[in-house]
Amino acid sequence: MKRVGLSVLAMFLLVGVAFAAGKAEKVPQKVVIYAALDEKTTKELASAFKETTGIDAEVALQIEQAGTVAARIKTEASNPRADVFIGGNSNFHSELAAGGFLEKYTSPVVKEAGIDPKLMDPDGYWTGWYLGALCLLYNEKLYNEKVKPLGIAPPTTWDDLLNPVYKGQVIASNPATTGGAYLMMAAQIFRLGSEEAGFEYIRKLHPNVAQYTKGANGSIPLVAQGEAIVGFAWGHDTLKQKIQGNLPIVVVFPKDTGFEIGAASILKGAPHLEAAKKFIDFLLSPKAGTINARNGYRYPVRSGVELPPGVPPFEQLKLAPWDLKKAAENVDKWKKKWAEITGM
Amino acid sequence: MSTRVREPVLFLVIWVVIVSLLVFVVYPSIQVFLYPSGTDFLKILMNPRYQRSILNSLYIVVLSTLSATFLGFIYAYAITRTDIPLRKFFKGISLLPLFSPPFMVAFSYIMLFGKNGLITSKLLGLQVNIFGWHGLWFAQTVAFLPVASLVMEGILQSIPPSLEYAGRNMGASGFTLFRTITFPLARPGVAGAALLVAIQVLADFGNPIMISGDFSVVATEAWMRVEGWADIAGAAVLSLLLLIPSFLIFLFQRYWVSRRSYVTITGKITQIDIQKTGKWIRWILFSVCLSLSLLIILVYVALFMGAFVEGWGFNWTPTWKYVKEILSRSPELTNSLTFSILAGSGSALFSITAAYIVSRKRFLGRRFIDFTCILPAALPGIFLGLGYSISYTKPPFDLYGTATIVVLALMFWNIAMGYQTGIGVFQQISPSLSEAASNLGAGSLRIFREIEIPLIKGPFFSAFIVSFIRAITTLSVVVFIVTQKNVVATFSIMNLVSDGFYGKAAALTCALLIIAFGLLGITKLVLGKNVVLFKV
Repeated sequence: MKRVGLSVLAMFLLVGVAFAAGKAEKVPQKVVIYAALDEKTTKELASAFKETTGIDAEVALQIEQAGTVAARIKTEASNPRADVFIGGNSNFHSELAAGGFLEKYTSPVVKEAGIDPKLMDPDGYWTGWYLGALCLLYNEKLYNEKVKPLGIAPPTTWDDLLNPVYKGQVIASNPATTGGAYLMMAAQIFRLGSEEAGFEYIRKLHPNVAQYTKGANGSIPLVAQGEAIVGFAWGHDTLKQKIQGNLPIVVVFPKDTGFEIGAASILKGAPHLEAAKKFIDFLLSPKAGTINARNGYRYPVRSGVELPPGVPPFEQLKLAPWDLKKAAENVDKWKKKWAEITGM
Repeated sequence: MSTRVREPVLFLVIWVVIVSLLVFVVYPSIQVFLYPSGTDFLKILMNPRYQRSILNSLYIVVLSTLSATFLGFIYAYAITRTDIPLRKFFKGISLLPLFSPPFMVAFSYIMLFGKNGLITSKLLGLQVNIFGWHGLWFAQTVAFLPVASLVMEGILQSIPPSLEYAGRNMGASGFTLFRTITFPLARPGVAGAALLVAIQVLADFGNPIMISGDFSVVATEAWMRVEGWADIAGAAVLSLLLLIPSFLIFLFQRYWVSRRSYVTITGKITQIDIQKTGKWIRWILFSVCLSLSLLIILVYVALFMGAFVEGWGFNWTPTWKYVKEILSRSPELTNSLTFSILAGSGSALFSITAAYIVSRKRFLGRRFIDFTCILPAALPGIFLGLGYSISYTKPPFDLYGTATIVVLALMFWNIAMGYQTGIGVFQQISPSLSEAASNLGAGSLRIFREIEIPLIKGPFFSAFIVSFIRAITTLSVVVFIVTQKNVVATFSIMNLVSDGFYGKAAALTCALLIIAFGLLGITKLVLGKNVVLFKV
């Protein structure tokens, strides 16, 4: 009797397991996320994805520095656990694609929502899902004390940083140490139309620079603490820190400024490929765009997203024309040139 | 009869130790060695920026080692060999900087000594630019003088006052006494302390990343290759560059300095009191110690203030909100605590066992164990973390996202200190005791259990504490192996810093410090004087 009971139980278990396994094949159960975004945005994106699609989203790794996330993807490549890499500028994704770490995917949402195809990877590996513009930031108190009395208006253009009044008072970032800073340097070249003009600007700015920080956004804490009067950084990160931390700084978007494309991509060998594709589609939805704009102050690539107060509409910014390919091709050459000029 | 047959337990232990070292130290290190290609090496070595950072690293190591050792010696001398007031207090303070998680301690130097610094600007009315080699030199001196002082305290304490007493009887006094007796006896300790400081300054990236400004050093360049450019090969090359000098320093310390120790432990405490120090010397030493300890205290006060004010550096309104928010970070803190306790105990157990078999037994592979146990002291944290990430996130050793991978990495990264201490102790315990027991018929295991264990309790707990502290405060080892499931507090501190949440980061750093210090306090209370930190 006992034996029969046991075998019946075993049968039930087996059927149950088989059933569960069969089901698992049809519906992807979850998507595993590596994020180079802030904590709040990442968490909210994951739970909104579950709400929308019913698929679980697991945040396995969240670090602001995209380089560290991309490096992790490389070291784990022989047995990938994550499905998607979200956040970080497109250069990190392009580099992973070139190394064979990514899976091609173009979301149908790009066409449906009428998103500018120029914001997508020409080779089809990564999806641009937000934009970030470069901004200037200055310490209000220091400006009022040291610059205003001389009758000089607050800095609003890139050329304002060249004013001798800011000698030793500008915090810039170092392209040798970080990819974000490289984009900031490239922005000068694209903004001014040629390599010569771009590097001429960097040469003129150099005497005013107090420090080239190792991280791209190193100027934010230093300007806030009054180590220097003015600096530049990514606008979305600066606004986020200013608003959330009540920093005594003013954020200005110069008339012709550079920008980055925030990308997302699917890893080669992703364990949950179908769910990963759905997640990329989701990132292009108005819901994801709103979460990203509200918490991270990043511009969505599509229309129909409400921007948080204090963020100028993207259309108002006059962006310098970008050539991603040129920026990627010239990394070594431009870094070297920059090092020659600055001696860094 | 071979060991295998006569003493199966010993045979097994030897094999476990050798295999563990091969698997958890040698294999991941080789993986990192093999990662970069020849062109990666050339690319880094030919780049003027990295050539400069190599020189910068050496320069700052020499400067900081000299200043930290010099001041550390004065400090240690004053609290062990003189009768100045507040000696207990000075000693307590010198333990503080052992617990310095990355970023935030360096951040508090900026708050104190930057252009808007509380001391430089508000108190002294100066406009100082702390960023650069001078700021780094200053920070590293304050940060590592306590380590130097701790090591030298140990040596100075073991110089019997009777020798100085004898010198005094023969007519020597004051500086002559110091120059001819005390200092020569302490010299090996001074050299040992200096080399320990040198290794730590060389590998430190937390202070330089915050305050070195445009002065680049190898440790931060290696870090930025990953963070800024996702360039693992470049980071591996730079870590290898760091490994060479730090390994040379370690070998030098191990095989040269430690052999020249003139200090003999007599076993009995000499009942001669320390002689009165001259009035002037006494007050000079007292004021030096007082200023140094105030400096150290201030750094930590600034850190704690950061956790309790709205905006560090610009808005000094007190607030509880950061501390409250940190309470929601209890998973990270719990992980940090449990992982570090496990890694600390594992490390102490492993290293003391290895030290025991190396100093007591003769067997094949003995020199391999000796060498591999001190190797991790020279490995930069990021190097080992990288190796674990490449080696242990895929079959056959798939430890991805587990507590095990973090604990193992932290454990093996720290075996060198415990091993050094263990070797030192076993050399002092005369083998005649064990031989006697052996003649009476006791096996290796019984001798170890009944004779050696009671004698090594102290060193075991010292090894535990040092590994624990290093484990709970490191970031570079874990950055490549944590996921949301096994995340630790230092990783969250890094995230908070790069998110710009300095208040929260300060609060989390303080919580971590309190936990680490609390555990040290408990261990000290339980074990009393047996715990010695950083023995050379």
